[in-house]
Amino acid sequence: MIARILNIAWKELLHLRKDRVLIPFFIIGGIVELTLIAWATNQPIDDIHTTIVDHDQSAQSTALIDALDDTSTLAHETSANNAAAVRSKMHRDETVVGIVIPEGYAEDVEAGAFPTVRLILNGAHSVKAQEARRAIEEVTFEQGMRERFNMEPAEYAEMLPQISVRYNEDLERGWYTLPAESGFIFYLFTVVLAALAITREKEKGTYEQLLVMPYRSVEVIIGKALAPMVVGFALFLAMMGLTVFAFGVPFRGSLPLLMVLAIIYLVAELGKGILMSMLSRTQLQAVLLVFVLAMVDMIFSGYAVAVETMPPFIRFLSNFVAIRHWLLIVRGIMLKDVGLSVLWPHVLAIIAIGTVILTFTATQYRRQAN
Amino acid sequence: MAVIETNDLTRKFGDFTAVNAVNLSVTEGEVFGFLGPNGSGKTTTIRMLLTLLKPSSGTATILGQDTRRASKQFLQQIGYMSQKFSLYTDLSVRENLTFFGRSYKLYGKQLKERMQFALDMAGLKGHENTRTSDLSGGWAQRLALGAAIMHRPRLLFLDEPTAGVDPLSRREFWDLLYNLSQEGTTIFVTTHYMDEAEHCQRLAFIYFGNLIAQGSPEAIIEENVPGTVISFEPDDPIDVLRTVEAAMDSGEVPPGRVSLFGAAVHVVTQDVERMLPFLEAQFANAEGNTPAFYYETPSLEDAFIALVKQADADGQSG
Ligand SMILES: Nc1ncnc2c1ncn2[C@@H]1O[C@H](COP(=O)(O)OP(=O)(O)OP(=O)(O)O)[C@@H](O)[C@H]1O
Ligand SMILES: [Mg+2]
Repeated sequence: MIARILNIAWKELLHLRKDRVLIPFFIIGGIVELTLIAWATNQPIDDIHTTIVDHDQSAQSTALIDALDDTSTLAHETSANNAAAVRSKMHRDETVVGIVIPEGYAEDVEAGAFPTVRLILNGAHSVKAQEARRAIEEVTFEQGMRERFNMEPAEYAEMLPQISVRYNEDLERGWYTLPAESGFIFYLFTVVLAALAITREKEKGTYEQLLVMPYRSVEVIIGKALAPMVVGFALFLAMMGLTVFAFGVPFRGSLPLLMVLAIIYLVAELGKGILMSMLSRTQLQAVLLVFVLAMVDMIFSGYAVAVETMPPFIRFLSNFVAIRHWLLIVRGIMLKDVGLSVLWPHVLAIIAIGTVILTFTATQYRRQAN
Repeated sequence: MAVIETNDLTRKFGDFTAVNAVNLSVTEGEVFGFLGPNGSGKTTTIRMLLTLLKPSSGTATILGQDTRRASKQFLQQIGYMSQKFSLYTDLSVRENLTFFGRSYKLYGKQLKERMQFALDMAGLKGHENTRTSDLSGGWAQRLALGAAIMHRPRLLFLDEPTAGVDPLSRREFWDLLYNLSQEGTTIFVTTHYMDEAEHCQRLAFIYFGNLIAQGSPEAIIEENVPGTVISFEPDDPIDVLRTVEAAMDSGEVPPGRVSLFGAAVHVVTQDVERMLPFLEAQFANAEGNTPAFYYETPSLEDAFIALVKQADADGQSG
C-alpha cells in the first residue's frame, strides 16, 4: 500500500517539476507578497499633512502650533483662513487633518477657562486620522496641564495609565501580519496544488486510466495529496525563514511543535483541495472554486477582519474554519511561545474538521469511481 | 469460457438511452471487434464493463465477476487503452512506463523486464527519455498499448486504438494485437475500420444503442447478405439504383438489396438468373456504355449496409 501511494506521489511530483509556471509563480509570489507586506507595515505613520487655521494669532496659539508640529506624527504643511477652506482642501484630498484655533484662545488660557480647539479629520484616511487624533489629544493634554494648571511633566505623569505591551512590545504591525500571511500563503498554495491534482487528469483524459488501475481510493487521495504537501511544506519553511531572518519577526516558541501542527493542518486543507478537484471538470474551475473558498476562509480566519467584532453567529461559524485555528497557532507559537497546553483546543478543532473533510472526500471519490 | 457476458446491459443518460439491452458474449482468447458509428454507445458499454459507469439496468460479468460487486482487485487482470490519449504527455517514455508498471504491482527486475518488452514492442528503444508529447501518433499509440499490457492482462480493452493513425502504423499495430491474442490475451476492440473488423474472430455491431448483429464475420455476412453480389459501374449509378429498387418493390424482379459502393452499384440477389437479364436490359436501349458485370463475394461492408438499412426500416415502422 505504501509503495503504491508513493508511486502516485512520485508521479505527481514529476508533474509539478515539469510545470514551468506553477511552482515558480508561488515561490516568487510568496516572496513578493511578504516583502511588500513587511515594507508596508513597517512604514511609520508620520508627517500627516495638517492644515491650521489660527484665528487667535497669539503667543499661546503659536506655542500650541509648534507643539503639534514638533510631534513626529503631524506636519504643519499649510495654513488657511477659515474652516471652510480646510473642508474644501479635504474635499480635494489635499490634507488629512485640520485644526482650528478660535479667537480668544490666549485669553481663555490666561483666564483659566477651557478654550476649545476644533479638529477636522479626513475619515477617508481612517488610519492616519486615528493616529493624528491620538497625537493631538496627547499634545493638548500636556499643553493643558502645563499652561492651565502649571504642572510639570513629572507631576502629571502619575495621571497617565501605566502601559505594558506583551508579546509585541512595540506594537509592530508586521509582527502580527507576517506570520499570518505566511500561514495564509501556505494554505492557498497547498489547496491550489491539490485542487489541480485531479482536474489535470480530467482535462488530459488520463483520469479514466487512473480509475481502472487497481488503486484503492485512499491510495489515490493520499498519493495525490502527498506531493502538494511536500512542496507546500518546503515553501512554508522558506517563508518562515524569510519572516524571521529578513523581516525580524521573533520566533519565540518551539519550531518542532509548529512543524508538527503544520502537517496536521495541511492534511485537513489538502482534503478540501482534493474535494474541489473532484467537484470540478477543468483546472480553471478548480482554481476558481478555491478562490471563492479562500475568500470565505479569509473572512473567517481573523486575518483581514477581526473575528471578535463579528456578530455572534458568524463568530460561532468561524470555529469550523480550520485556517482560523491555524493562524492562532502560528501567532501563538511564534510570538507568545505557548505550547500544547494552551493550543490544544485549536489542534483538536483542526483534527475534527480535517476528519470530516477527508471522510467526505473519500466517499466522493468512491462515488465518482462509479 | 466467456470472459465477458452481459445480460440486457442498459445505460440511460436522462431520457436518452445510450446503450439499450445489450447482450454480449466474449470467449477467452478471441479478438472481439465492437463496431458502430459515432455516438452509438461503444465507449459507454466499455465504461460499464470497466465499472467506471453504473448500468441503469442489466448486468455484466467480467472474468467471472459481477461488475456490481467486483473489488478493485479484478482490475489487476485487465488492461485498458481509452479512446482519449491515455499517457501522461508531460512525462517521458520511461516515466510513463514506470508509473504504469508500478501501478500494476511490477517492481524491481520484473518491472525492468516488462519495460524492456514494452519499449521493444513500441519500437522506442533509445527514446526512453523523450517527452511523450513529442512522439508521433503511431509511436504514441504503440507506447500506450505497451503500457496497457505491461502487467500481462488476461483481458484487454482497446477503444478505437487506431483512430488517426496512418495505414502502415495501423497494420503494425494490428500485428501486435495478433501476437498478443496468440499468447492468450482476450482482446475487446472498438473500431470504425472494416478491414480491421474483418480480422476479428468475432464481431458485434451496435447501432444507436442497439446490438444488431453478433458473430463471426463470415456468419454475419452469410446471415445478412444471402445470395450473390452483382457489381457494376454504370454512368449514372443513382438512376440505376432507383430503377432497380422500384423493380424490386413492384415484384418485377425477386426481392434483394441494392446499394452504392463508390462509383459501383452492388445488387444482392438470390436469383441471379432473373436479375442479370433485367440489369442488362436496362442498358440495351440507352446511348451510354453497357458496364461490365462482376460477381463478388459479399463483404462485411455489404452486411453492415444491409443491417443499417434493416435497422432504419425497423425504426421507422416500429
Ligand atoms: N456522460 C454522459 N452524459 C450524457 N450523454 C452521454 C454521456 N456519455 C455518453 N453520452 C452519449 O451517449 C451516446 C453514446 O456515446 P459513446 O461515447 O458511447 O459513443 P461511441 O460509440 O463511443 O462513439 P464514438 O465512436 O464517437 O466514440 C452519445 O450520444 C453520447 O453523447
Ligand atoms: Mg467512443
